[in-house]
Amino acid sequence: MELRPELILTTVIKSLGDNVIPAIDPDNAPARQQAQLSIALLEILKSRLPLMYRYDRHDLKSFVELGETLASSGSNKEATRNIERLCSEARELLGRARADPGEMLERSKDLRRAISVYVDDVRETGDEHTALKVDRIVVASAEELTLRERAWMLPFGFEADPAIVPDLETLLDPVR
Amino acid sequence: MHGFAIFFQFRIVRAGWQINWWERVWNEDYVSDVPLVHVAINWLRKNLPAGDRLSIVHGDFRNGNFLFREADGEITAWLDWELAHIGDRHEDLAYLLQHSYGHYAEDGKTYLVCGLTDRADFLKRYEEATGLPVDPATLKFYEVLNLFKCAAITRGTSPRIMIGGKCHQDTVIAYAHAISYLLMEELRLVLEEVI
Repeated sequence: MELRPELILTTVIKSLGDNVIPAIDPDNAPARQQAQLSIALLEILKSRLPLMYRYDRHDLKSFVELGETLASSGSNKEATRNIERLCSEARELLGRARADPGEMLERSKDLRRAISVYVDDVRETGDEHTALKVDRIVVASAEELTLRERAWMLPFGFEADPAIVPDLETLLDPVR
Repeated sequence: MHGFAIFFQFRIVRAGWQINWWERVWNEDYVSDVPLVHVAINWLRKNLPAGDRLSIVHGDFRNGNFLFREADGEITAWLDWELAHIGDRHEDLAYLLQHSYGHYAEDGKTYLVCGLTDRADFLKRYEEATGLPVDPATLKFYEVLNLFKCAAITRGTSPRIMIGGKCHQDTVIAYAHAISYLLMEELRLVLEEVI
């Protein structure tokens, strides 16, 4: 899926700046100001979006450390036990949340390319039976992937019958 | 002269040059590779049809790419000739069959080619109007080629244009990219049929 939030934001900002703002009536000061502030807000969002996950992870880690410090110096009250329990759960969560989303995207690109090279290589150097087998596996696997992409792109409005496309959330693995 | 004729037979009637062209576009433009596209390219190379005659091929032949007189419905001009070439007549015919250019009838089941009539009737009327037979294997080849070509443009080139930021229609290009997944699904279904 190439239309990632960062690219969509870049596209929208450019379109507003190149095409929309120049067409606004120069005497309509509120409209011009709102348009310029809208672009500025989108620019802020674009610059911060790639760091959002790391920000949330850092935020959680900071409060785990604070909670643990406070709990270790506090008495054995209900409030302290509650902090200890939540810190313990959050530590486990932080342990699972080490990979950066950008890293995952890059590995996915690497694997897509490696599989494509493999498909070509088998077709070029392997026997017909093996090449056919590989082709069929790839075509079969594309069914689920294409359905997920269509569900993701459903809001664009190009599906002839949107009712046949499953809800996107049912096609994505739960994060655990 | 004989050599020239052989060159034409090989280079133009046979669509190998088009596979090379669009494969290069794909390889230069894709952001993330798609193994299904490689299955399509390999299948195309293995199943090149010979072709029966040379024709002018429009290359983007579909409803929406012509002007007409409202009074009598007469088509007065065909637009967008930038992909025109000498080639196989099945290429434009297969292009018309692409699902992106038609829709379903009111029964929700019958697909209407270009919103006109069902596939069998469409092909029958083509044969009647031209006096030329439709070769199913050649037609299938060009269905795969056209879907691959359109997938290369919308899935590969569209995001590349947006990333490049040198176009004043980036938001339209984003919508063009969204069509690529329907083309990929159609490509997958045709490959499932032929492989």
